[in-house]
Amino acid sequence: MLTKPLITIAKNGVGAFVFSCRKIEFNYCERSGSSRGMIEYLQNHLIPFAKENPQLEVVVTPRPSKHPLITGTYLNRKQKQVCVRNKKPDAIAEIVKLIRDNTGVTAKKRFKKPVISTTESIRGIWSPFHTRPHSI
Amino acid sequence: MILNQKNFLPIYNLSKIFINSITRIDNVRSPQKIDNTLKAVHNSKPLSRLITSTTTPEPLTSPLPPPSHSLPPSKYPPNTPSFSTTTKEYLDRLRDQLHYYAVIEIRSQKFLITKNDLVIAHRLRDLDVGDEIKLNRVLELGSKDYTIKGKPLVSEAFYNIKATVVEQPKGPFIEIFKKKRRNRHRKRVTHKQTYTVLRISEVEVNKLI
Repeated sequence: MLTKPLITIAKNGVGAFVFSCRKIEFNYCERSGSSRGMIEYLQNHLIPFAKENPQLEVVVTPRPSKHPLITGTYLNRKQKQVCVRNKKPDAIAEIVKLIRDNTGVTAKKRFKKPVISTTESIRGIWSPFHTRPHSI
Repeated sequence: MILNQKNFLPIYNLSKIFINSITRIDNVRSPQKIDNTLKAVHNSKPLSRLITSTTTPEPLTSPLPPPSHSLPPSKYPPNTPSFSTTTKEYLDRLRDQLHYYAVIEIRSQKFLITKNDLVIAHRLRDLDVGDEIKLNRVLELGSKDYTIKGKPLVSEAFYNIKATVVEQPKGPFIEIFKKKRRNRHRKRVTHKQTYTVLRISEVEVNKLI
């Protein structure tokens, strides 16, 4: 009777590493003032960033009469959206780096445990019948 | 090194003190390219030792057939002591057991790890997503029946532990709001802790030649 899958579940980073962020989309408005920092970032900083990260799909789309927005899409199909209204290009660069370094996992409690493991305990679970030689 | 064997056979006490040599070389970072070969391998903090070549052992040209996980003598860290035959024999005993755990230290944070684990450490600022790290501070290395306890660290020639940086997230949003009534005292502190998530890609025990 099978209790575990026969095929190992892929662990990103063990054999090969697959980048989690797939696509970053930049939305800006050509007219509004909240997009000024975003437009400067797109003109000066975006192309070097895209060249350094050939694994990312970078999309720039105007979105008129709305605040500027950065959307990151990840391998688990989740998205992370950050509104960058009235931000300077340096701050936008930090936010882009944050989006890029993230995976789409949204669980809040995953930072409670320092080590997340699926291997069973190597030394075995303690049993009172195996701690010392005894006879009944 | 003390080799502790369970099931109450006599404990063999070999008191050896391993002193890790401290060398610091500036890290050289190559631009971000995700190819799955090792591009830059460097040790975890606080000791940094840069190894620019890949760390897979080259095939030995000696007449003996090369063991699969052996470390060629030329790639030992500089001040490795030569090991006695009893040390090698005990390490082989540990190595023959296939699953190992290690108690490692990353920037004074201790973790008990096995292969394929995810380690959530404090943010390591000089690392990028996709980098591979070789860990060099191991306090304890063990298996089902044998453990090696370092004094305080296990010699680096015994093991080969590597991790890959998977992501560098921020924690949940924490808001601390302090208020005293009728005193016009209000204080709001917001905080998002930064982390680095590592995947332990291999935990291997070397075969000493």
